[in-house]
Amino acid sequence: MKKLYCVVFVLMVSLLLTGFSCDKYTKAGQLAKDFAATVLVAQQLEIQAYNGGYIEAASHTVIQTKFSQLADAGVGLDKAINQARNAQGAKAQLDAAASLLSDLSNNQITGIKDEKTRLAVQAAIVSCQTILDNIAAFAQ
Amino acid sequence: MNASDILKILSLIAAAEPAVLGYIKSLLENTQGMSGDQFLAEADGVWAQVKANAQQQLQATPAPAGPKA
Repeated sequence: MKKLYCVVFVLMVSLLLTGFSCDKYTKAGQLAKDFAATVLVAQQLEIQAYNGGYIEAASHTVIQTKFSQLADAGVGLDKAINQARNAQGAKAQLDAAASLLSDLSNNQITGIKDEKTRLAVQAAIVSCQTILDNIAAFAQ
Repeated sequence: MNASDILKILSLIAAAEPAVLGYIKSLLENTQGMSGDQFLAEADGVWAQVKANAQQQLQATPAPAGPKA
């Protein structure tokens, strides 16, 4: 549960600090960085849960494969934001990342049998989704 | 939120994983005065770390046993 609180706190800090940026490109870039960092936190949470024996090897492999795909999608998202100088040109990349997160949240982590671990990982993924939604909001 | 709640949250943060603390620290230290290019460069660095972690985990995790004949 401590980890769950930490993830929620990280999310709140991320959202509060978003307001310090000035232009749309800077804001999109900041959110992209926050998105990447929050995915990293979620991944490390999952790895530690696996190392602690709370996640089976088969589920761990599937989840880490998704994180690897998410990293590729994230690099694509950063590139699209950089090229367009805002988030408006990154709709396809936003959709790809959102789809991977949704799959993780709705399908892959359901294989985690320990309920507390599943909830903690789910909370971290929800944080990622929230930040991604904020990037998408800048693309409107 | 009262002082007790704040202390409770601070103690939770103090007990947090280094990665979470590092992330919060980087957010607090680095967000002001950075350009969009700098944020994106940092994001790319984080993605490289996510990718490397995933590959390391996939290599280290034993393959599940196949169906028995």
